[in-house]
Amino acid sequence: MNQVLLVEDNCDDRELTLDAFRLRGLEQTITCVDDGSEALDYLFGRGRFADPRPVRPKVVLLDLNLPKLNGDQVLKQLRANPETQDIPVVVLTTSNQPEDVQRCYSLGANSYVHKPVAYEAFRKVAEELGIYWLGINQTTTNGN
Amino acid sequence: MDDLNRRSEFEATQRTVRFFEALLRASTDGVVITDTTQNIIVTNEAFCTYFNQQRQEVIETSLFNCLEMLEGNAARRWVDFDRRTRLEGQASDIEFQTSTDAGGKYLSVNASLLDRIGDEEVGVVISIWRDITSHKEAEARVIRLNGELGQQLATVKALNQELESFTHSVSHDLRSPLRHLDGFSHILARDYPDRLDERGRHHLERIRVNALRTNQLIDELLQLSRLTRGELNLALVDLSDLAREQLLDLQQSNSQRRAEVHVDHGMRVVGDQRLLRSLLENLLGNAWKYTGKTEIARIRFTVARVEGERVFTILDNGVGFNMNYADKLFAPFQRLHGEAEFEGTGIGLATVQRIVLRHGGRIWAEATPGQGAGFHFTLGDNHLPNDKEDCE
Repeated sequence: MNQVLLVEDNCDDRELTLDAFRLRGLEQTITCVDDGSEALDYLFGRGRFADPRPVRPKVVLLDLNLPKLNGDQVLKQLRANPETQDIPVVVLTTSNQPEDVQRCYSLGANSYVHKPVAYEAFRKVAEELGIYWLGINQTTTNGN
Repeated sequence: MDDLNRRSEFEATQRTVRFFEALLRASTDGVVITDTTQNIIVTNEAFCTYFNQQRQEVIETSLFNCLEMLEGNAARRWVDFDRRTRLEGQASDIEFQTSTDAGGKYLSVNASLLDRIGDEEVGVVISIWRDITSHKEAEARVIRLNGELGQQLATVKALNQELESFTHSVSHDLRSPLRHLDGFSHILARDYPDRLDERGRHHLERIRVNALRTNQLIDELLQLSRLTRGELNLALVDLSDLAREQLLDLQQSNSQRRAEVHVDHGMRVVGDQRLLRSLLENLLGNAWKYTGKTEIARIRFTVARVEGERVFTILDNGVGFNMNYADKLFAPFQRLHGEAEFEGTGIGLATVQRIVLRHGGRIWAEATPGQGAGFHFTLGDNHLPNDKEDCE
């Protein structure tokens, strides 16, 4: 089941994130897209994701520095559309600049997570993200 | 009136006339009296020098001869000025410039109408011509300097902007490869333990340690750059409380170490709480670090009034440093001890100095190798924004 949409353009980052989730047996739940415009296609069921339309994810893990459309723009468009406005978005980024944190929250992010540089710490973060967003958190169902 | 009286009255008048002539000669302002036909009735030397002429050449001639020697259409402007003076009794808002031959001086003219003397209708205009060249030049200099200042301000703003975006890209772009270095080294060690011998694992570990150390360096550089941005958030800060808190933390995290600490009471200052916390963290952290090899660490944080100024001192009995290198202490990345001896990135004291300078204070240090170090700082004379109102 595709429950997590990972929006990440860097293949090394993708691989490390998948590795961290793999340890918890969660890698099957993750779908990856490369850039902001692909992410919107996926979530709105457009382009190569028109048929079949993907299942609405339980959470979107969103990087900020993305080609084509950046993370800010993705967040804005998701929040502007009634169909996607309540999909949980976790900003997962290398930046821990206070300005970035504040801007993302004001754009409607549900959570802001700074990717630690140390792999061990990052693995723990991935684990806790999985536990919280796939286990504990309740989301609305598709289209409601 | 007899002859004698008449003569002494005449002599008195003569004296007065001479005084007035001397007065005219002494004046650095040009003085001209013109009649309705613009004939010069009275003038002085100062006026004539504006036209490179002698007084005899100018007196009883038309003012227009002089006006022709000025830049621009001086004659037409004078006619208008003269008309206004006669109409309103006085006028003052006119300026002329002398020819290049006469020095290109700027002249500002004030004029007033003398309608009658006693019963006699005279209808003359008395004008005072003042050389305002130096004033004009100063004004031009101020305008030029203001322009330059504006340009420099724009440059500084642009540089700050650049620094901001540099900071941003540092935090984004440099961290990613470090995370990858650490991540893949970790995965390699985890997934292929049987294909790596002791030496191979050691090399991998070195890659990871260096990636993390570089990351720490980036963190501290970013922190240093943030210190230069933004306003100081001034409040009353109790340095004694902050220091005790931090020393307690240090002691609890290294409970096996023996330490005697002393903090003076009531060291309250006006400053930015966040920055001052960082200042003490660095200085007390250093004192703690460099007493790590001392049997009983002694750390003192005290204050003394020196020539009216409060000087704060953090003193330790650690390894100290050689005073020959004291000038390197506060520069970023400068370290006086090897990495193997004491860990660190060399950013801490640069941060400390910047915090002190931002508060308008000074910092200096003294030390003896093997016996300890002392850091002294002042924090300027900051006031809370509403201090003044409280006093009044």
